[in-house]
Amino acid sequence: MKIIKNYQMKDSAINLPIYAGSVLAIISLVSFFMTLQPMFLPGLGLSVFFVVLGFINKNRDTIKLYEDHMELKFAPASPVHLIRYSDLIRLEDKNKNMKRLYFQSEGKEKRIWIPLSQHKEEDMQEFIKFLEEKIQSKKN
Amino acid sequence: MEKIDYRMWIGLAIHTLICLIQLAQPGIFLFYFTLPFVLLNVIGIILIISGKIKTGAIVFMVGSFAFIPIGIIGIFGARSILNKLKQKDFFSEINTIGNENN
Repeated sequence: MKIIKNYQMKDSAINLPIYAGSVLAIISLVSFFMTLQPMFLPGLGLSVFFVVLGFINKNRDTIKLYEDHMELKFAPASPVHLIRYSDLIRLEDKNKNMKRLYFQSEGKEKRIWIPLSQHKEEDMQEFIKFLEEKIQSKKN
Repeated sequence: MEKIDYRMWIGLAIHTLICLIQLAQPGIFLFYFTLPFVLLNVIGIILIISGKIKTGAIVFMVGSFAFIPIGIIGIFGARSILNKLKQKDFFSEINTIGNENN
């Protein structure tokens, strides 16, 4: 299987948990050394979790387009969605940051959120256009 | 045995360690709180070895939720097993459809 196109998360969405984790680590370390209370140490664990999550997101492709199907995986621990282009049903607007994609899987209609705000705007315009073309070509 | 992701073993080891550390604490309440979740992890691994991969992976994930943030390692492992299973089903379906057309 050859990948036609792949999309990654935008830089600001990747860096936000890294920055937030770093700030949390500094706050919890400073408060630990000032008070010497162990109750501030769990904050350090949480900050490591945020930073690791950010670095995992850095090299991860959220959307992979193949010749006859696509692979969607929006979060590191979320299930992978494998969708054939012939199974696409329709695309709905929810708000400006989210779109809902309906597709057929194992005889049932399923739906998935597409978080537009996590990706670059021009990438998402291209992807939505691609999906609409596939749905249109199936209708015709 | 090769069905089990290495991250699940790491997760199980960390969860067991956390559970046993609670024994040394003055309050033993946390030991009794974490023990059922470690048992769920063990049951999940046994189920996966015995062939019920999907149920086992879900049971393992439920057991790992109590240990978040470090439990995310085990959740990644179990999720990767479920994803591999999904991919296998999907591609075998594609191949059978292809053969029917031929």
